[in-house]
Amino acid sequence: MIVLNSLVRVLWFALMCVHGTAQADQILINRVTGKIVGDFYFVDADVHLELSKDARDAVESGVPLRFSFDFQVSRSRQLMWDQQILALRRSYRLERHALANKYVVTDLVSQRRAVLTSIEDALEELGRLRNVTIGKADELILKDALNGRLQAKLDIEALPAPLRPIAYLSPSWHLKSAWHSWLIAR
Amino acid sequence: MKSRFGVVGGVALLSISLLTSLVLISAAIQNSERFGALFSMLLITNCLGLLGFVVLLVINVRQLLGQLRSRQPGARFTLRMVVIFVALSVLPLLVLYTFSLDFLTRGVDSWFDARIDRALQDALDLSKNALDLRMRELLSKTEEFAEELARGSESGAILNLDALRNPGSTIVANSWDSNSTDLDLLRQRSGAEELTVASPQGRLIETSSSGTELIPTLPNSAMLLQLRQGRSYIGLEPLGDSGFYVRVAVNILDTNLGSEQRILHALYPLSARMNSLAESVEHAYAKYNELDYLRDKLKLSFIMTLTLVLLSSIAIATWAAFFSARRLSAPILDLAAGTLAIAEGNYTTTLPVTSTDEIGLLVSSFNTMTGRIAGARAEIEAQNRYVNTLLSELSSGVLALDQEFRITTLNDSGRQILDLGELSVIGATLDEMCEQREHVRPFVEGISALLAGNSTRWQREVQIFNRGGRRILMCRGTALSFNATTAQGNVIVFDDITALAKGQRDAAWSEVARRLAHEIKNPLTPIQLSAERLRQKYLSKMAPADAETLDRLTSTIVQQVDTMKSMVNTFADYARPPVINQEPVDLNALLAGVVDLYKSANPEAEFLLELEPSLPAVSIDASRFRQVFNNLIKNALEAHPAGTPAKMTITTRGLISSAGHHVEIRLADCGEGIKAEMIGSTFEPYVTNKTRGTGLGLAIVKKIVEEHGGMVSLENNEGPGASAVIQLPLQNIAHGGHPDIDRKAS
Repeated sequence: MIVLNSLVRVLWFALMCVHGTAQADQILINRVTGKIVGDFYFVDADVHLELSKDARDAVESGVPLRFSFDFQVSRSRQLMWDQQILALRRSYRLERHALANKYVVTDLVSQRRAVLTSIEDALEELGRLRNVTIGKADELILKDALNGRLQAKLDIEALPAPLRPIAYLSPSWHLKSAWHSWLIAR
Repeated sequence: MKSRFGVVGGVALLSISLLTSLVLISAAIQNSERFGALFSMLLITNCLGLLGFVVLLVINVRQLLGQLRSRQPGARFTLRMVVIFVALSVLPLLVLYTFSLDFLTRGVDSWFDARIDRALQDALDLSKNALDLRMRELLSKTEEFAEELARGSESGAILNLDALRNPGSTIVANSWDSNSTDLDLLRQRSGAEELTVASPQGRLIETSSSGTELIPTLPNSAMLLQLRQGRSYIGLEPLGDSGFYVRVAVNILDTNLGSEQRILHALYPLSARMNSLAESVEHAYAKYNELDYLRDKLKLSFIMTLTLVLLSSIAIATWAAFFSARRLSAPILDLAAGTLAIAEGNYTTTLPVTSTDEIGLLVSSFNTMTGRIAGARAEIEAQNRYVNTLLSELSSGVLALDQEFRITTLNDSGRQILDLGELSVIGATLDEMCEQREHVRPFVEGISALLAGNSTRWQREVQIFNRGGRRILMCRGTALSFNATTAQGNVIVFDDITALAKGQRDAAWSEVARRLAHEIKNPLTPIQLSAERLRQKYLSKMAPADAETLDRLTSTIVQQVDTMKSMVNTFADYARPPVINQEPVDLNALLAGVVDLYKSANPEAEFLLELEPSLPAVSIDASRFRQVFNNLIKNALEAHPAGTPAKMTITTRGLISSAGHHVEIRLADCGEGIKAEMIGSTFEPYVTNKTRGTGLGLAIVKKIVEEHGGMVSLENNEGPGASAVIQLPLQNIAHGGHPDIDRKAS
C-alpha cells in the first residue's frame, strides 16, 4: 500500500510536470531607462510581477522567494556575435513576516528592506527598480551605442531543496520575463 | 583483461559517485544550508548516473537476448544466474524500500502535530496581543506628542522626501528653527529612535533621530493615505538586524487657522527582551509553517531519493548480476568450447587457468585430461602407423570388417591383389565395393557365406578374374571378438596363390603324367616288340586261318599299343613344363583357319563365325591355341547327337570390365549341354562323359589358357547346347590399342 502510494505520488508528480499549465507573462518588464549621474550609469525599471498560485501559497506559508534581475550590456558586431561588456545580477528577497503580518522586500546587495502590508504592494515595490548602478559611465558611454537588456525571474535555486525538483519541472514556478532591451548611448 | 578491468573500474566509480550523490541529496533535503546549492546538480548527476546504468543494462540485456536467440553456449546459464541474482537482490531491496517508505512517511508526519501547530499559533497570537498592548501605548503617547506639537507654532523649509530617496538629487540645505530642540526633547521623552514631522504628502519638515542614519524613515504612501483619511497608523515592522520596531504615524491637528497640516511619524524600538522573545516566536512559527508547507514536497523528495536509491541499487545489482554471471560462466564456456574442440578432434586444446577455486581445479583437470588424451592419441597413432607399416609390408592382403560388414582396413597388398586401383573402400560395405569393382564379386560371394556363419575361423579358396587374369585367392577369416559373447567384426587374410596353385597342380599332374608315361610307356615297347616278333616269327608258319587270327590279334596289340603310346605322349605333353612362344596373333585368322580344317572334314557341319573385325592382335602361342580351339571344336562336334547336323557359333569380341580389357572367345554348340553336376569339374583331368578319349582334352585347354593368363569356362546356353568361353587379358595385346575398346573405355 505504501509502495503504491509512493508510486501514485511519483506519477502525480510526473503528470503535474508534464501537464502543468504554462504561466503566460507573469513577469513583464514595462519600462527600462538609463541615466548618467556623476560618474555612474543608473537604470530605472518598472517591472510588473505577478505570482502564480503555487508561488503565492509558498510566500504565504513563510517560504522566502528570491527574484533576480539580470542586466547585460553588449556591443553589436558585424559578422560576429555580440561582445558582452558586462553582466550584473541584482537579487531581492520577498518574504512574509507572520508576527508583524507584513511583507518584507530585501535588497540582497544593500540589505535595505521595505516593509509592506500587502503582497501586491510588496510586488510593486519589488518591481520598481530605481537608481540601480550597473557600471561606470565612461565604460558604458562610448562612441558606439551599446545594447542593454534586462530579464527578471524567480530564482528557483534559492527555493528550499525539497521544493526545487517540483519547481524545475512545474511551469507554475517558471516565472521569468522576456529580455527587455534598451539603447545605451550618449 | 585490461578492458574488463576498465569496465569494472568505470562501473565501480559510477556506482560510488551515484551512491555519494544520493547521500548528498539526502543531506541536502534535510539540511539545505549544507548541500542546498548542490541539490539540483546532485539530482541531475543521479539521474544521469541512473540513466547510464539503464543504458548499460539495456546493452547487456540485448546482448543476452541475442545470445539466447543464436543459442550460444552459456546464454541460458547466464540468464538463470542473472534471474537468480536479481531475484536475490531485488526482493530484499523491495522489502527494505517498503519499510523505509513507511518509516519515512510516518517520520515526516510525526514532525507535525496539531498540538504543536496550535501552540505555535497561540504563541504567535499571544505575542501579537502583547505587542498590540505596547503598540497602543505608543500610539497614545505619540498622539499626545502630536497634540503638544500642535499647540506650538511651526515654521521652516521643507525637505522633499522624494529628494532624500533619490541619491541623484541634491539635498537642499534646511534652516531649522528653535522647535527642533523641542522635537529632540520630545524624542528623548518618548523613547523613540526617530521622530519626524512631515507634510501630509510625505515631505520632511523636521526630524530627530538617535541613530546614525542621515536619512530618516518616512511614512510610505499607504500610511499617508490612511492618515489623509483621518486614521492614525501603527504597525510592527521588522527592520533587519535591529529587530522589531513599532512605526506610528499620526496627524498633528493644528488648531491655528491657516496653518499647514502636518503628520508626526515615530519609530519606537522594542525592548531587547521583547525583541528577543518576538523574534524567537516569529522564527519558530515561520520555520514550522514553512516545514508544514513543504511537508508533502519533503515526502516526495524523500520518496524520490529513496526511489532513486532503490533503482540505482537494482541497476547496480542487476549489472553486477550480469557481470558475475558472465564471470562465472566464462570458465564454463571455455570448458564447453574445449570439450567441443576435443569432440572435433583437436586434442591439443588447453584452457587458461584463471582462478584457484573449484572452477580453476576443474579447468586444470580438463587440461590434464586433454594432455593425457593427446598423449594416448599420439601413442595410438604411432601404433596405427606401426601396424599400417606392417600391413603394407605384408605380401598377404588383410581386410578388416566391422559388425555391419563395412570395410575398416584394407592394406596395400590387399588392394593390389583385388586390383581395386584408386577406389576408396574404407567405410564401404562389401556389396558397395562389388558395385564399383564387379570383378571382386566372386571374392565377396565366396567369403560372405562364411562371414555370416557361426565359424570363428575359416578358410576358403576363391577365384577372381581381374586385369591380371584369373587369380586364386586363399582366404582365411577370423571373427574379431573383444568380449566373450559377440563377434564385433572379422578380419580376412588372403593370399594370391595363383602361381603356387598352378605350380602345385602342374607339378602334381606332371608327376602323374610322368609316372604314367614312365610306368606305362616302358612296358609298351616290349609288348609292341613282342607282338611284332610273334607275328613275324609265327605268321608265316601258321595255317592261313590261324595266321589271319594271329595277324588280327597282333595288329590289334600293336594298334592298341600305339594308341597307348599316343596317350602316354599326350600325358607327356601335359606334364612337360610349358614352353610358350608368344607372338602377335590374329585370333580371328587363327580361328578361321582351324574352322576351315573342320569344315572340310565335316562338310555337313555348320559353322557360324561372328568375329569382331577390329579385334587387336593378341600375344599368344599360336600352335598351342590352335590345339585349344581344336580340342574345343572337336569336343563340341562330338557332343552333338548323332544323326543331326552339327552347328557351331564362334564369336570373338573385346570387352571392358573392372578387371580390365580382355578378349572373349565364345564357342557355342547346339548339343545336349552339360549336366549341372559336371559344370564345376569339366576341366579336371579324366572328367568326361564320353566313352572314348583320354579325359585330358579340356584339362589341356584349361592348362594352355591359364598359361596365357586367361580363363576358360563352360556354361549351358539359354537355348540348346553349351558354350566354352575363353577370356584372355589384353595385356597380351601385341601392339597398338584396340580402337573400339579404347572408345568404350573412354
